Amino acid sequence: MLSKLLKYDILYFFKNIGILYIVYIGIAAVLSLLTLMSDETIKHTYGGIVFITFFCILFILAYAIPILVIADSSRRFKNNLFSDEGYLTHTLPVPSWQLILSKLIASLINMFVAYAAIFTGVMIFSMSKADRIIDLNLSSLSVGWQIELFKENTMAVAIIIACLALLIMTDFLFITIKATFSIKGLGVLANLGIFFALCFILPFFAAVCFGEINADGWIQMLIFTSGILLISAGMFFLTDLLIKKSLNI
Amino acid sequence: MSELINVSGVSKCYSSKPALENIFLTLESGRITALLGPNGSGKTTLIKLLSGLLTPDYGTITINGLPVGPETKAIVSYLPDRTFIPKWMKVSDILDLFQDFYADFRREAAEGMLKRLNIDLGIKTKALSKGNLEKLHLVLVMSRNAKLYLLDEPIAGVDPAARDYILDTIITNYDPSATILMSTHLITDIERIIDDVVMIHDGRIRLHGAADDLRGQYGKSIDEIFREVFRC
Repeated sequence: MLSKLLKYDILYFFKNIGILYIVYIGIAAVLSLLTLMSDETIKHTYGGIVFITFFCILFILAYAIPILVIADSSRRFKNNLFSDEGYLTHTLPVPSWQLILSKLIASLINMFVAYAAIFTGVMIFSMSKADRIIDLNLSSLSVGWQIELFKENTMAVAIIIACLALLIMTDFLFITIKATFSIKGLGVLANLGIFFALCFILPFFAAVCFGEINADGWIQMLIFTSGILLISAGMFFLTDLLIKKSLNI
Repeated sequence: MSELINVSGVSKCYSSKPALENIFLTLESGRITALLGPNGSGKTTLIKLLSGLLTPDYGTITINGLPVGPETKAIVSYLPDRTFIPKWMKVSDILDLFQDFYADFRREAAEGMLKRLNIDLGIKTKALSKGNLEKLHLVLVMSRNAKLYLLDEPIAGVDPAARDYILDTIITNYDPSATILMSTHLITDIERIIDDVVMIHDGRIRLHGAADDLRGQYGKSIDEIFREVFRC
């Protein structure tokens, strides 16, 4: 039944946010085509303005997409379990833990699809001739470089996955507490916390990990990752317990 | 006939306010039971407990001999008093969902009923009118070969013609060996189809019996008995 739940959770994300990924990659492609403009066009007409505008949109979207994904995960969890939709969700012949796990996995998948879309956009842009227009070291963002980066930092990737699971479970738990105990405002607080974590803590943490993990430190990192996953699991069981015992829709 | 529902000593409170107090109730299979009572009497709470949406504070509930859980949800078809269909789905998506999760869902029957109602399978559910959305809910619920149908106010807020359609759909689509528990205020409309009556007030059962026995005992219709029992 978990696979069936997952099917509908992923379908929801695809129908809601899928178009955004296509738009993002489309803008990256248009931006790459714009780099083929002659120097004359860029310097003396509106070509330069159009280029910078598209570049800004691409830059903003690259930051906005992960935030929208988290916000959409929260919305899906809240609507599907604690709004009128819950009358269907909670009467499906599945245990409540599968409902939560399905949403957690779907959110993680959606986050990875989002990052894949962002990287695809960056790769398309890095293959263009944008270096001659703006001062960016685009050659360093090549596909090969990105793959090598992940190969060399598998532990950092594991930590990021664990952190994402923790972020999503924190959000789910806060939403559940708010719904079961009818607390006002906690949802906004939770979303602000997630927003803050996503914008500041996670990139900072990832940067530290990418920069400092070496062969000697992997055991410490393994313990750290296990700790994060353990906390996430604790939150998962607490959320399940609250839904089982105190569901109030 | 065998016992399908057994509610034993069940109590449920919202915050500190009791919604149901020490309820004992047994319903047999193959019966249509009307759950009657004024607003706030505990009808919806009882139906939610049977559907697994709520957990009792005290007491036990079994359906077909099983405690309420995924196994009982597979044999219970529940029509709540509100819209449960996700707005982002098309009509065909919600049929797929029911087919995926409920082994007893009869897709051909559902599609046939929707065709007669002129509801297109490709339309998004948010584009349906309120009346058609209510009919879609009913079609989904009654297209299951469930052992127990829980219908919470199925004919509330609809015009008399739609009421007839809903009641006819219920009567013509359920397996006679199944049980229907239906809450309503509109007793006159359902009087012709009910076998048993449960009257509930302030979280307690006030009257429970076969509809014919009650009519004979009081010499009145169920509607008149209801008015007498709940006279303000």
